[in-house]
Amino acid sequence: MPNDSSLGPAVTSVVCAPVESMPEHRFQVAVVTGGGGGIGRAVARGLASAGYCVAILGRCMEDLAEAARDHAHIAPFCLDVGDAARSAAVFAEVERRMGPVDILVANAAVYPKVHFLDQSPADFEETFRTNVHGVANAVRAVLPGMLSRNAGRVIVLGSLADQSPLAGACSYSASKGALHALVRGIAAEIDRVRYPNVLVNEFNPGQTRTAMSDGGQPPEAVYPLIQALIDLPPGGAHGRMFVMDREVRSNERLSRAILRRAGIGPRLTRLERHG
Amino acid sequence: MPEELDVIVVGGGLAGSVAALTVAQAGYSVGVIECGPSRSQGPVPGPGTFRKVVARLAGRALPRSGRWPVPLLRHTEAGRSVKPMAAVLGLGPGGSSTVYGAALSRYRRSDFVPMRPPGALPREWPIDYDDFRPFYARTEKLLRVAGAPDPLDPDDDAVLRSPPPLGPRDAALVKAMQAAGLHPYRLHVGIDYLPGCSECLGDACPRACKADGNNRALQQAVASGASVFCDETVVRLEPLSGQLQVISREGGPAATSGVLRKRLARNVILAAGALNTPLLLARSSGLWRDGTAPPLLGRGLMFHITDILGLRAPSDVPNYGPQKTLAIRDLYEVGEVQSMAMRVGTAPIASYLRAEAERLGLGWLGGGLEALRIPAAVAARFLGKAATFATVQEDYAYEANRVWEDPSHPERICFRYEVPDELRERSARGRRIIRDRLRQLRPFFLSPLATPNWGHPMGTCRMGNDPAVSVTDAQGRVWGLPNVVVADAATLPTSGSTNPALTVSANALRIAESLVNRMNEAALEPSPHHAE
Repeated sequence: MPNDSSLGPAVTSVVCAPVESMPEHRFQVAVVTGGGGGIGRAVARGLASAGYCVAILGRCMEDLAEAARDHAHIAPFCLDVGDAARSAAVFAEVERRMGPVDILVANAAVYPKVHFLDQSPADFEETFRTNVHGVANAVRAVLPGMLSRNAGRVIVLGSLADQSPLAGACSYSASKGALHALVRGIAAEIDRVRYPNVLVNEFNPGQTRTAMSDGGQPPEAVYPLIQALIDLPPGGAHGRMFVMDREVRSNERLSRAILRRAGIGPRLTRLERHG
Repeated sequence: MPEELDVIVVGGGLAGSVAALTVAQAGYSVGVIECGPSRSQGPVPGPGTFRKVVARLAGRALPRSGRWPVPLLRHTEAGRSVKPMAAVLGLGPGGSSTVYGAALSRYRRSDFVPMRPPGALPREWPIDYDDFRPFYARTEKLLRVAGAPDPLDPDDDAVLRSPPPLGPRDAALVKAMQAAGLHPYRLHVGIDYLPGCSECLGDACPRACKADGNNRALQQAVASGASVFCDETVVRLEPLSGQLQVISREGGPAATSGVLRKRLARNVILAAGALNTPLLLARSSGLWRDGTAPPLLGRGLMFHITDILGLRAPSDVPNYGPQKTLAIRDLYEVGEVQSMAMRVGTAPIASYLRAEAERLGLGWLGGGLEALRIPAAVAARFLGKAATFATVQEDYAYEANRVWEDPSHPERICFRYEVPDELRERSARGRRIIRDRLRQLRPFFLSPLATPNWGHPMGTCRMGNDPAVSVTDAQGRVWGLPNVVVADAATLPTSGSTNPALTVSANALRIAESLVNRMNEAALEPSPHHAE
C-alpha cells in the first residue's frame, strides 16, 4: 500500500475500522392520539388493515377497547395527551412494547362549543392543553427517535377554523391557529439535508361526521389521505398544510403566489388517495 | 477608583474562554473583556433577499450576523492596492468558534518536528510534542470531541465520543477511498449531535450542541466567579505601579467615540485573536521600558491553504445523516483532507467563477460578475450530488506577511499576505496528488489554486526560546513583560496540517495554567501583592 507521508510514521499495514452506516428503515409502528373515536378510530383501523402496528391513545379506555376490538394490530393505551409527564411515560411504554414509532397521527382534540364570555378560564386553558400542548407532548416523545433513524412521519390534524372563527368556537379556533405555527416551527428546526425522511405536516380533513360535527364525509374517508402523507417520498412536503388532498400556503407572500401561478417556483403538492 | 482584578483576559473567544476558566477555577478573580455583544439575544432575522441582491450588485456584500463586522484591509503588491474583505471570524462570547466548522483535530508529531524552510522563520515549537499531548487530551474532554482515531497516526490517543453513523453517501465514499488504498476515519468534531442536530457549520449553534468557547468554557468560568464585560473594546494597556491598567472603550470593534473605562489587573492574558492581539500590544508600547516592542510583533502571519474539492461517490446513493464526517491524512502534502459539508449549489460555484474571473483581471466588472450565477446554476445540476472536502495545507511564517493598524482608523485591521512561491508550488503538487490518489472519486476543485483560508490567522506573536525569532516565550509571556501573556492563535509558531482550534485551546489551557502556577508561587513568597 503506498504511503505518501515523508515525515509521518511509516505504515506497513493498517486495518481500517469497519464503518457504521445508517440502516434502511421500513415504517412499522404508528401511534394515533385520540384513537378511541371519530377520525382517530377510522385512521387507526385503516393503518392496521394496511399492516402497521397501531397504538391508539385516549382518555377513555372503554372507547379505546371498542376501537381495538377485532383488530389484532391495534393496541390501546390510556392517556390524556395534555399531561406532559404521563405522555412521556406512555410513549416510552409504547416503544418498549411495539418498537420505535415511525408514524404519529396527532389527532386528539377537544371542541367546547361555548361563547368566549361564558367559558371558564379553566375550560379555555383545557382546550389549549389538549389541542396544542397535547400535540407538542406527543411530538416531543417521538421526534428524537425519528431523527436518529432519519425515518418518520408526523401528521397533525389541523383546521382552518382560526381564519374565520364561528361564534361559540373561540377557544377551539384559537388553539387550531396555534397549531399552524407549532407545526411550521417544529418543521423549520429539522435540517432537510440531514433528515430528509422525517416529514412533519399539518392535515385538515375537511368537514367530517364525528362527535364534533353532524355533517360532512364519513371518518373512513380520511384514512387514504393520511396514508398518502405517510407515502410521501424522502425530501417531500414538510412543514406544509394540507386541506384534504391539496396543499394550502396561507403564509405565502403575494409575489411568490403570483410567480407560482405563472408556473415559476415549486409546485404545490397534491396528495394521491391510496387504492 | 478602578476595579482591581487578579487577571484580565482580553477577548472571549476560544482561547480567552479556556484561559478564563482555568484562572477562575484556580480561585483567582478574573474579568473577560469582549468587544462583541453578549449572547443573550434570541435569533435575529437576516436581511431580505432584495437587500442582499442590491448589496451584492453594489459590490458590498452585507456582513453576516455574528461575524466580525469590520472589513479586513488586505494590502497587496507592496501596498499598491488595498482590498477590503470578509473572513469567517466571529464576534461576541465564543468568538470565531461560534461560526467555525468545529473540526478539532490534533497537530501531528510531524507538525512539531523542527524545520528551517528557506527564507521563512524557523518552524519549531518551544516545547515537546509529548509534553503537549496531555493538554490535547484535557481539551478534548472539555470541548467534548466526537470522532474516531486516525489509523495512520500511532500517537492518536484522542479522547473521543462516538459519532452518529454515516449516511449512505459517506459510507460509499469510505468504501471507495479504502478501495483506493486510503485510510479514511471519522473527523474529530466538537459536536454533541443532540437529536435533530444540524451541525451549525458557519453559524452560531443555538443549542450548545456545537462546542464553542462560550458554551464549553466561558459560561463555566462565570459560574466559577469570572465576570464578562461585553461590548467593550480594549484600546491599550498601560503600566501602573507594578500592575497593569487596561483601558477599554464601550462599543463594538468599530466604535470610536464610546466612553473609556479603566480596570487594574496584576496580570493580563491577551486572547483577542491573531489579528487583534499584536495590534493591541503595538498600541501599548508604554509597557516596555525603552518603548520598543519585540521586532517580530505582528509578523510571521500565517493562514492555511484550503482547497475546496468535490468528490463523487461511484454509485448514486442518497445523502443524509451527519455531513461533517470524514478525514484522510494519507496525502501528507495537503494536510488533513476533511468533509466540508457544503452543498455544491449555485452559490459556491458562482463564487469560484467570480474569483477566477477576478484573477484574470475582470474584477472591474464588479456587480456584473453576478451574471456568472447562470453558468453556475447549470454546473450545479451536474455536480450537485458531489461531497465537498477541504484541505488544510501548512503555511510557513514569513516576516513580510504581517498585520498592522491604520493609525488614523484604529478600528481597521490592515494586513499584508502574499502566498509564497514555494507554497503555491506545494499547493499545485497537492492538487496533482489528489487528482492521482482520489481519481476513482472524480475530484474537481472549487477554489482557485492556493487560496488562503482567511479564517485561520496565526503566528503574529509567535512562541519561541530565542527572543530574536519570537515574540513570546514558551509560556506565552511577551518578551520583556513579566505580567502580560498571549494565549491565542497568535502564539502558534507553526500552522500545522489541520485546523488550529484544538491546538489553540490546548495551548491556552497550558499557558493559563503556567500563569496560575506562577501566581500560586508568588502568593507563597512574602510580597505586598499576594493573593488571599
